[in-house]
Amino acid sequence: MFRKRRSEQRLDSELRFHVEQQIRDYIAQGMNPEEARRRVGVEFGGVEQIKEECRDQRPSQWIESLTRDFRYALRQLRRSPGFLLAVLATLGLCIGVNTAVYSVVDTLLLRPLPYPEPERLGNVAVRFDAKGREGIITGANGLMAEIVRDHASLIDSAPFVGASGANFAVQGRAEYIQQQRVSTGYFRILGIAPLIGREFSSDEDRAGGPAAVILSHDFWRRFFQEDPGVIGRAITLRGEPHTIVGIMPRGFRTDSPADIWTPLRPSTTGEGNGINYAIVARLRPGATWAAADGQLAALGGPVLAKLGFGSSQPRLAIVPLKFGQTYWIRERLFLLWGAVGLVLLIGCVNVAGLLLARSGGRMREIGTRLALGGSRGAIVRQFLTESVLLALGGGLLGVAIGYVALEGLKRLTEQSFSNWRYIDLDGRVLAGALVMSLLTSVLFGIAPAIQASRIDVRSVLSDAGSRGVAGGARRWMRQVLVLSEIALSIVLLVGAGLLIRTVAAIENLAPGFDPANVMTAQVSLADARYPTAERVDRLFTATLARIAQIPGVEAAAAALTLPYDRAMNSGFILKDGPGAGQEGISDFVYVTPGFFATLRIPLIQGRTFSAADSAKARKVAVVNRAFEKRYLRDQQTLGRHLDDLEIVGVVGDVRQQSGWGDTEGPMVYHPTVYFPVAQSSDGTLPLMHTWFSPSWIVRARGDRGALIAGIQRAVESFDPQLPIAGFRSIDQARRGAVGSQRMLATLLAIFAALALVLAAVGIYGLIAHLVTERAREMGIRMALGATLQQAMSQVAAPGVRLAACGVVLGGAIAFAITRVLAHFLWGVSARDPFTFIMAGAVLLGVAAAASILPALRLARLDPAQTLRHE
Amino acid sequence: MTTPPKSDLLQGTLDMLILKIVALGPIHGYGISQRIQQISKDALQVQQGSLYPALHRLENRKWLKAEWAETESGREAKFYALTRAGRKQLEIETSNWGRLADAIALIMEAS
Repeated sequence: MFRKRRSEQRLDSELRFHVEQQIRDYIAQGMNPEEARRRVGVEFGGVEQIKEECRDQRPSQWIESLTRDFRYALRQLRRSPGFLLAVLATLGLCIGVNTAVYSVVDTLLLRPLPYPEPERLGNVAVRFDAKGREGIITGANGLMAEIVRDHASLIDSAPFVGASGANFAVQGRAEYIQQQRVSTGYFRILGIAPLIGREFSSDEDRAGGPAAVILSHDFWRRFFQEDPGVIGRAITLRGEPHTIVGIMPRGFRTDSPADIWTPLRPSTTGEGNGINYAIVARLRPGATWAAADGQLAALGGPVLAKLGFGSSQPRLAIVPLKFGQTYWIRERLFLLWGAVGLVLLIGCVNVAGLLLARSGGRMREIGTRLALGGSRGAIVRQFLTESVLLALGGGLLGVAIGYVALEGLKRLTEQSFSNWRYIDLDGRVLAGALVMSLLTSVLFGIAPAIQASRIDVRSVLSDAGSRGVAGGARRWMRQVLVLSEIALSIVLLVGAGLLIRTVAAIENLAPGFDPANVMTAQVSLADARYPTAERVDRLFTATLARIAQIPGVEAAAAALTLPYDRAMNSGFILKDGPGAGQEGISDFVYVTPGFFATLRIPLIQGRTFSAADSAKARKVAVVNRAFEKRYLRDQQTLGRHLDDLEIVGVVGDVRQQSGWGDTEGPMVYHPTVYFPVAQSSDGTLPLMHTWFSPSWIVRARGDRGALIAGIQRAVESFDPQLPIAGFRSIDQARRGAVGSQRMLATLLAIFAALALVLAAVGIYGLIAHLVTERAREMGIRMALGATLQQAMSQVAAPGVRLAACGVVLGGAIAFAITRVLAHFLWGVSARDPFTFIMAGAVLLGVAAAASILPALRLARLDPAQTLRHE
Repeated sequence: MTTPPKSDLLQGTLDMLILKIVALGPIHGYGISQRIQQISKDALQVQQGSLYPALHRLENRKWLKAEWAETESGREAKFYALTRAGRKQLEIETSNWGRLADAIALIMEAS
């Protein structure tokens, strides 16, 4: 500080010496002192300016001027809280949602997987032609897994399945946990060895082999307090003792939220009959992707030919693991990323407009500073400093909002994306957000700053008072900014509207049953205490009898899977009639006799099941209309046989979530075969229960809480060791089934709303500025007899006109690009006129409100006052 | 406000002229501007707005060193003198200038 003052003094005396010396010389040349002083003053010019330039030569100068600039900037910003709030809110919101979405994109799509050499990891997949677009499924049946394991020499591979619920008995109570089944070699391929113990041996990975289990670190800590002595001990899983053979290290995770792992025991029958496995693979040393891919394509031909892909030219292939885990969500994520990118763009435009308006209001300040000797560079620097401060503030706010937004995003999507629970805001995202924020405001801080530094000092200063005209160029630029804001908002509004209409279209589909007042309770029967059809049947019969006693219950049943949920699919052979010997694939659902009556699924011909269809009776089945249409071509259905089942009835279709190979849409009628649970074969029942947790289905009126408690008691009184995994109404099941569409629509709607608010702020700002500028003119007009309405429409009209132009422009852009949405849409055209009109109407309404609101200030204008000011 | 032309000098030549004048002996800013004017027979006039920033720049580059001393008239003034690095820089600039002047002369005399 002292040094600084001294160097200032020195600079001052150096220059003063020059001036005085010059004056003295002029006097010596015969000039009178007055004249000499004046002449030197003219020659020398602005002393302060010279000083400033000398200071700028000092190396430490930038720190000094930076702190000075920052202090000044803070003071300036505090003086206009409205502007500050608008910019900070805009930046904060834009950066917040961008940070949240970027965190997701980064974790799921950009960051490498948490395994060694992740770029050599892959999924075996089937590529096929899905109506012109390439389809991919990363699934395999048992035969494919076997062929790949034994013959694909260029890759090391292991089949596995996603996690599913299981009962874990601990200290007399039961816990519902997530169990993932993986084949031997799975952990070796990922490249992560157990922390303690070993992974599964091939002996354990065989039907009938010893029951083994590997624990996650979390599970180990939760139930065994990280005791390393648990290796070799047995835990009771699904009612059966399993020996602990390994513990995985902390932080290890797969693409499923698993608590424990057990051997897959792959087979080519049962579950291995359908596409129920996935295959993880690692390129062997020296092997290339192309070579491995070619080898798989050659191997896959024969087995794929039998899989009912029809004319879609399936090909066995290998895809990178990261892609394999995320291909089904990639497009949606990129869409979201694009949408928040648009929001950011609108935000930038908004901030630019605000900065521009502000610089317009500061012409006098700048003019004064220039006249007092401030250099143009210093003024540009000043503006930049303010921009940087705004950016930092907005960035910090953005990170905070991003944190909240990410939590919201996760909660919103919990059901559809179990993997998202691992996503966190991290340092890279933080840095990205700050850079984004800096770029935004500095970029738009510079334009007004440069413009400001070019102003003509004389004209600004001589222009009396605050009446300084902001200049046509500036207003024109702001109008362009607001126009683009509106156009971009329209694009987002149309996109959100189309997705909302899609969700509505899906939800309005006739379900094929009566969904009102139906509650379901799910239970895992992958339990050694329920190994046979007889035991399972007894469980359902007894509990259903008790549930029927609960007040308000009208009907109750149980089934392996619910409407809307994905059902078990399996192959079958038609035994008789025309087309005998034909193979097909159908959904198979076991049900209790009351199933059709409880859900009110209409019977079309024949009969449904009764208690008489017992294990000892003839094996029967009921098929749906879709099955009849696909496989029996409306010929004599009743009495025909598929495998050993005799068809005794035909019922109406109910909606199922579409699975692989479905191209009709998100909700379809699958060919379905219903059979009585009592007649399930003991061989396949445990496998079904490995895959699917059956549900009780209860139609009841009255209090939900009482019903849930009643069902809980009914089950407990039969088997206190059987935990109910969860209750949900059939409505919730339906919402879950459209979860991904709903999520996309919700998020896009949020972003569109954000865009709308930003656009409204932009218009409001523009018109408010216009009102200030033209207040005098309007005051005079009103004094001369113009009505308030006339004056208001004069000022507000540009906003509405601008909005109209923006709507047309945005509509045209949306019309051109909504095609990218086409395959997210269903039941609505990408150019749905209703959506376009609604989006335009909403925006025009908002624009009108945002224009009229500031124009109302004219009502407070006192014409006499205005005139006096003249 | 119109900005006066800062200097009629070629970009970069002012630094060279200052180094040259200072090389003749320690001298203050006012003296430098007077000398340039005298030696050039009033053809070159250095604006203070260019001179002082240039002096501070050269000082910061350690080509000039400054000292406060009394003038003949007994006033305190800031005297600039050449450093070793400044002398070297002057040599470089002198030879550069010579080459440039020769080159320009060749072009201008071409017929």
